[in-house]
Amino acid sequence: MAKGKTIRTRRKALETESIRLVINGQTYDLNIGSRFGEVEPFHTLSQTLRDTLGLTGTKLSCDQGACGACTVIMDGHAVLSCKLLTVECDGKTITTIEGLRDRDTGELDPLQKAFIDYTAFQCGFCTPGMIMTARALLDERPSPSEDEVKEALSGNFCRCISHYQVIKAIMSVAQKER
Amino acid sequence: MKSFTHYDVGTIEEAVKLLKNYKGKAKINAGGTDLLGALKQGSLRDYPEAIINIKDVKGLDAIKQDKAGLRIGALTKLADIVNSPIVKESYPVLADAAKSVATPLIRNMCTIGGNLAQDVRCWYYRYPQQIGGPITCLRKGGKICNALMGDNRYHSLFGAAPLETYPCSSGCPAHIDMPSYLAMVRAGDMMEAARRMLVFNPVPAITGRVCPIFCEPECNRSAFDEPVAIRCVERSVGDYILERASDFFAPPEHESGRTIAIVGSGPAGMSAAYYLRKAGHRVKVFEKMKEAGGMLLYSIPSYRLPKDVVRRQVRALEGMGVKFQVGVNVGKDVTLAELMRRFAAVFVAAGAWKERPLGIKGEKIALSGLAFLNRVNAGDTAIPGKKVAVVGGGNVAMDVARTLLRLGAEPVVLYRRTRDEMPAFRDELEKATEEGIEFQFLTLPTEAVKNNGSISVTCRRMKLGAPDASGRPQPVPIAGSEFIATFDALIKAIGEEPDTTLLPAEFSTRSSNTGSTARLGKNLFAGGDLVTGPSTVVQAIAAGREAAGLMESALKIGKPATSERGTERAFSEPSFVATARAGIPEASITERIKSLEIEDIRGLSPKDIEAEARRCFNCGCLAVGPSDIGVALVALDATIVTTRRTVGALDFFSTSATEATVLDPDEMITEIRVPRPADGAKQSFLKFTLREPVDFAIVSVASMISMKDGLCDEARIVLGAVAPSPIRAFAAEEMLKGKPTDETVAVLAAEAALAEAKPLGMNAYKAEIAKALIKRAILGQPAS
Repeated sequence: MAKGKTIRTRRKALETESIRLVINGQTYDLNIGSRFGEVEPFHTLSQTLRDTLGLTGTKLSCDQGACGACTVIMDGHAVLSCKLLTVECDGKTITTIEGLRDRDTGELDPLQKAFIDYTAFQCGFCTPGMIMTARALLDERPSPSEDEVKEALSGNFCRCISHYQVIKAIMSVAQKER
Repeated sequence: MKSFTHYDVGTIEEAVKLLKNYKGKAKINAGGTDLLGALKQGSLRDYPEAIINIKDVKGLDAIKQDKAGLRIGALTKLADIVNSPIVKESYPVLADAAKSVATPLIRNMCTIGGNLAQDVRCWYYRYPQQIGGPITCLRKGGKICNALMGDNRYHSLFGAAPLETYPCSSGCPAHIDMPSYLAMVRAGDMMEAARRMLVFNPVPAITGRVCPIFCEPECNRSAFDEPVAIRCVERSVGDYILERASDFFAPPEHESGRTIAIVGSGPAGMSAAYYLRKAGHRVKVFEKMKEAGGMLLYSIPSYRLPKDVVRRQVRALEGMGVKFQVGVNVGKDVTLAELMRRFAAVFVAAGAWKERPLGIKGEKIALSGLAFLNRVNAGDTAIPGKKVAVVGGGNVAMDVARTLLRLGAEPVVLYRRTRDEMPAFRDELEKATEEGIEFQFLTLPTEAVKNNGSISVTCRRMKLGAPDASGRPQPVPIAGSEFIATFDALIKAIGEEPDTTLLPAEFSTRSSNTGSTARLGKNLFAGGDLVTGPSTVVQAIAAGREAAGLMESALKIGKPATSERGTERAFSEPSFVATARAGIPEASITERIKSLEIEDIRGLSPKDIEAEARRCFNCGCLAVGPSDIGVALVALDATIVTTRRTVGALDFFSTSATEATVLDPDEMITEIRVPRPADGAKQSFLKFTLREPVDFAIVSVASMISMKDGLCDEARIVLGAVAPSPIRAFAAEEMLKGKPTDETVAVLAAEAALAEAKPLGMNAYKAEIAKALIKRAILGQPAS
């Protein structure tokens, strides 16, 4: 932003202008405001994804940052979309569970396949968050040890106790990508 | 989340400017992992009007190492600290502390500055609005810390973060530090309780009897059952002081060589005399009457304040070297101007003795209420008649009526408004009523005529009209309601005012008036009722103390005015006992109306006083400091740089019940500086939680131990989550010094660290966990 631009004009700009999010390769320009389809300053990213953009693959469970169900990948890091204000994500690149399949072939991400192959879920509510966290880990470190997987996934909770299968599923991909 | 104005800022300066503009009503978002939860749950004391996003501020997220040590930008993510090779290599206690925070997902978002500034984790404080919150706890301006008597398994082992101002002290005109002396009373240390009392009040035996009690109505315990009977405890402390007067009223060690004159020996004069004499000045008090004591001796009747108490108080002051010269009428026997010439300073505290006239026909027939009390107090107990009309509704009217009753007369109180508007203390009014004194409300005498030895008083009935300047409804005469009542005597007690003829004419302008004290000339000061009009004993002693400070600072003859706070304290010792308020014994009505000398309210026994003092909550917040990083930073002896100052990690965390850190509303953390640890120092961070990860510490221990020739050279052992802020276990550190770090020493050090712990009802287990962690830290073992 230009030097010397006052806070007042910036605030005005925020109220009238829009923000740009790149989600799963698609660019979204969202107006800030209270009308339908607009983003309010107090909206969280999880709210925007699910309610405004209809990307309901991202789940919302505790809404307090404790369960990991709402995990998305933002600029390469797994983050909690319930703990982010959408207006503060202007210019960010975001991947959600909907964006993992191959855009050209439609083929599922190897992690998604592995979760199916290992039945790494029961009710499946935590699964998108589990997979997004695992994806960010493998992107950064393609062949983690089992302990590293456990550590990285320690913020994703599953009430059905699918954790054992989750680790097996992720390790199977980690070994393939190794 | 409710709405707020949102700002993105590019620089810290912009953020600070906004914070300043919002005057505490804006919050910084440095990561959002704590803030957004608080906003969603509505758990903050006030929902912020604005959120200022600083996440895009550049240059504050670097970890740099130089010769001096480490510099970490405030916006550095905890994940980056966990993964930093520099931190892992040389500052493992910090890396481990960072890794212990919440989950990897949260560590990808939260920053070190945010971790240090996060809000407390008390679940009463954080009770969400979605399920019926918020709970207005002490931290949010409520009256009770719920953890005191409720669930406190996660709370402090080492006391509470004290309130900055206690409601009891704030209510008291003299700002007596009640929790501080009550703590000593319950500890059985009356000597120290007395010392703490005297810092604020030199005449507690007197105020403990006649104070209209400003403190008890403010007591937070009222929210639970009944207030602590503070006045009754004060009375006992006062009696204790008078019994050992020579210990407490000793001549000062150093004489200043200056002499100060005080005109008037009432409570304001006595109080000024005490504080000035204590500061080393010679003090000479001039008193018009035959005996020192002012209103305390000549106006307040013996059944409320035994003369003996006042006399012993005067003798106590004499014992410290205060000279009383009685029978000197300043203005007649000696001029004020002469006193101002002869003395370094003159304090006029002549009280409010001038009675207002009734303004009726036959005014001269009415006797003066104050003159009557004077006479009785001087020993002349003759009554002016059997049936006596007492005109007025204030404390003097009550004193006159109750005195008359005790001397065998039949007083009738005539008051032009109703009971509710009477300015007398409620307690006095209740006592007068239960003693059977007759009241004629809405009655205004208009004329008095002598009639064959009796007095015919023409009265008019009144009704209540619109409020007057005092806020009370104005009495309005009812036309044609006149009637005549016959009495043997008529006594007026409709209020007093200061007689300021003694003072220079400029007094009326009161240019440098500070409320209850005023500087009237170069070395002339006035205070007490003379300045304020009739008030109370405790207001007068506050004025006397204030005047002593004012005189010393104005004339540059002493140290700055005495500090308001009696003693320094870090954490207050919270206390909850279910005991009911002590019943304060009173003389029976039939017994007490027989004599002027029977004190109507009695004191309590020392045992009862201790029990009553135990009822003081010693109000404070029992929540523990929430930051894990902070505990490690204290062990590393780090400093925290803000937009305003550089502060040591230990001092950064506030010990106040309302703020978690020392940060001002418009102050921000910018950097954390960690000195390079000694080569080979063993560092450790151990944290016990109920479930890993995500949960907050039940206890954490950060330590750094340097060895020399196989023996401990220096140790820093810091405990987290056991007190309102991280605390150093100094006793354990001392224990380790010069010893090998073996099992025996580790066990002793762990015991020493927790020796001072004062567990609450449900958290004694935390002390055992803390000991286990300290032992493992010393032995270099993992937490589990």
